[in-house]
Amino acid sequence: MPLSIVLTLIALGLALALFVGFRANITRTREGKMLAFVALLVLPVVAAWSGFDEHMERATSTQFCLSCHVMSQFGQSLHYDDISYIPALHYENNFVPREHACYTCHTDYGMFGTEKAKINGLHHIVVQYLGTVPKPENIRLYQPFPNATCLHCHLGARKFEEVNGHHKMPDMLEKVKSGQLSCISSGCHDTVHEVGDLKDAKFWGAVQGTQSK
Amino acid sequence: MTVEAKIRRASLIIAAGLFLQFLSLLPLHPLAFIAFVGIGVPVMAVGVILFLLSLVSDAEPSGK
Repeated sequence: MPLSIVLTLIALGLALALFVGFRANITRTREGKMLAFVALLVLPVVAAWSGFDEHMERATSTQFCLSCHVMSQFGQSLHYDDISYIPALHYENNFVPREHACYTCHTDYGMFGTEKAKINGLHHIVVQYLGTVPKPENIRLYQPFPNATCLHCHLGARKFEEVNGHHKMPDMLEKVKSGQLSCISSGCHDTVHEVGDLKDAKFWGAVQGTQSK
Repeated sequence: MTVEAKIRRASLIIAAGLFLQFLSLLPLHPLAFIAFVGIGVPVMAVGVILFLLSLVSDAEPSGK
């Protein structure tokens, strides 16, 4: 639902609630009772639900993730002028939607993937404002990066299935698909954000504080 | 407290909750989400519950 509609819905609910609040005597009539029911129950609940949905949707945006200072270097790492960095490869080539780059690779695609990501995000906020924020180079995932996230897009793709690197061992691809062998194992796709490399790196595209291309 | 006064109180609380929700949707920041879920929705929910309780309290005397 577009933001303008959500805001309009909430504003309408607000206006009606105030109207009923300042003209409470209208609830003496049957029509007034019906209006109060809509204004004080139906519309607030619908407005709150649409607002929640909007917040959940915008929380998947790259801009949202990078709005915390500690994440800014991870945002810069999407612009490495070197496609051996997996996030940069995906971001620069539109393999992931740029507006939802972080979320695309850092959520799981199970039934409650979004909710799980949101709970982790709440933990980030607690640490940001009440805890000790680690240095960007010391930030680690809660659990090893799951192959399922990569396979969500790559599984079944011809390049993924046939590329020589995925057949270095006879059962390599099966191990990857079953999760026994991580996609980001050493010697495979093990170069990810590597924010420690930022100070000497060249960038592609417009990065905050960098205009090189 | 009369039923109308209870409804007025519930309405103003709901309006306050909705106003906070409206404000929380303007910036794009994690704290805006916290404000929405942690303040806007609970305040509105309290107002809705008070409204429903006012209906029940209004119905009780006539039911006896």
